[in-house]
Amino acid sequence: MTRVLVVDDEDLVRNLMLEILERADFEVAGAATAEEALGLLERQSYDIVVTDAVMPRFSGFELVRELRRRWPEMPVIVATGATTDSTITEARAVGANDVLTKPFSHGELIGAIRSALDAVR
Amino acid sequence: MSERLYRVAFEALPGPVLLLEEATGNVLAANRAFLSLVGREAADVVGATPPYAWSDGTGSSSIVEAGEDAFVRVTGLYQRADGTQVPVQSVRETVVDSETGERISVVWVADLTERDQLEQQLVQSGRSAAVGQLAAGVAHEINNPLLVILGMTEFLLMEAEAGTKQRERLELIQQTGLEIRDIVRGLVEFAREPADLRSELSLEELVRSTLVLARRANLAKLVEIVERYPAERLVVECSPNQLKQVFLNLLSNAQAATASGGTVVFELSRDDDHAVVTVTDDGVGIAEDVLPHVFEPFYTTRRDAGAAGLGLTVSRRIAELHGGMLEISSTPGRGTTCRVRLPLVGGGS
Repeated sequence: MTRVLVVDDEDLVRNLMLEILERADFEVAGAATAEEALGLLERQSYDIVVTDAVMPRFSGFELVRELRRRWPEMPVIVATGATTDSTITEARAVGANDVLTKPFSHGELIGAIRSALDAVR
Repeated sequence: MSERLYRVAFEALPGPVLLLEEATGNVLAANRAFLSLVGREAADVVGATPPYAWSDGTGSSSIVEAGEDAFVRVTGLYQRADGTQVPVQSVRETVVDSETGERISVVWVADLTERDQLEQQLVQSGRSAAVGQLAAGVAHEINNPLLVILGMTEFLLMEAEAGTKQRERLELIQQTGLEIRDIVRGLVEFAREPADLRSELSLEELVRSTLVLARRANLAKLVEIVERYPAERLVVECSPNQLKQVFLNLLSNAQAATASGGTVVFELSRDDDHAVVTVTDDGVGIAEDVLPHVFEPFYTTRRDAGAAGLGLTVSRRIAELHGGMLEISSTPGRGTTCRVRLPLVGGGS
């Protein structure tokens, strides 16, 4: 089963994404901070990470940069509510495979994860 | 220098000047620029004494010190003979005729119309910038909770039976949520940073391709679009997609204002070192009290028709980001004209 790690500091958003993915038969785990996400990744392997962009202290962009350094092959999707050009450009620049703009439908989230996985397989 | 030469020079001064007898205010002379400013004949001005027909004397005065001299500076409105008003600023200086000892006031007048317009534009664009910064922050704050609302609704919709009141209500929540999403997207679009991907393009090709697109997408099925292009090629440095968006917005507004069978004219022309795309419709026009608000974000008279009130706001912003401007004029009952002015590459040389 595909293992997805969802990183978002807002509980409601994170839990929603986890539930959407669980119902679509993904194995999921959630982290409220980038530090927590790195801790989980050190203990267990995941197939893909979906992270929020704007989080206090350690942003999603910094997380992507760190993931690229330590797990260069793992696909990462940045989900952002701030859909400005600079946010999208920055997400690409740090090495995100895809950028998903909030709000997205269940189908868009699942579709983005599947295509990112297909692209690396 | 002869007196005649002095008079020629006085007449030819580009700025309006008035000579008064200091004690009485009796007008001794007024140059051509002054007469044209107040829209009056020399006979109506020379010899006049206060109160003057062109000035009600209600301007605000201030003392300006320049070196050892001090001037009285007055800012106010002049009444033209045709009833219109013009904003002016005048400075009064006293000179003494060395031969006769006569004291004469020289009044230098500046027409502030253009300065006032520029100031208004500055205020407007300052407000645009503030709204722009706000947009990115608001988008982030709204999109997260909106994701939760829409995401939860989608779960509930999966469980709701078709045809039930419950399902109908959930669909309404979803639909409304999507409308909020679109408004926020429009706002972010408005806040867009200047596009980096600019290229030098023929404005004619850009207008043509936009209108081809509009016709193909059936965006203008109720009106006839007339296109007029100049013989010369007008090249502007631009982000083609952004300009297409501007032209589509203007077309969409023109169509909404025009009854079936109306005409929308897209005309491309050159004005000195600018290219101008003029979009004219023969529709209902814009009411006088509405016109000053059309560039304000979220201002719309078509809320019922699903308009977000961002089309002109975004279009003007795009024109400004291209170093140009968007102007609009309208006669209620006759139609509306929008002008997009864009700087030509190399000043059009």
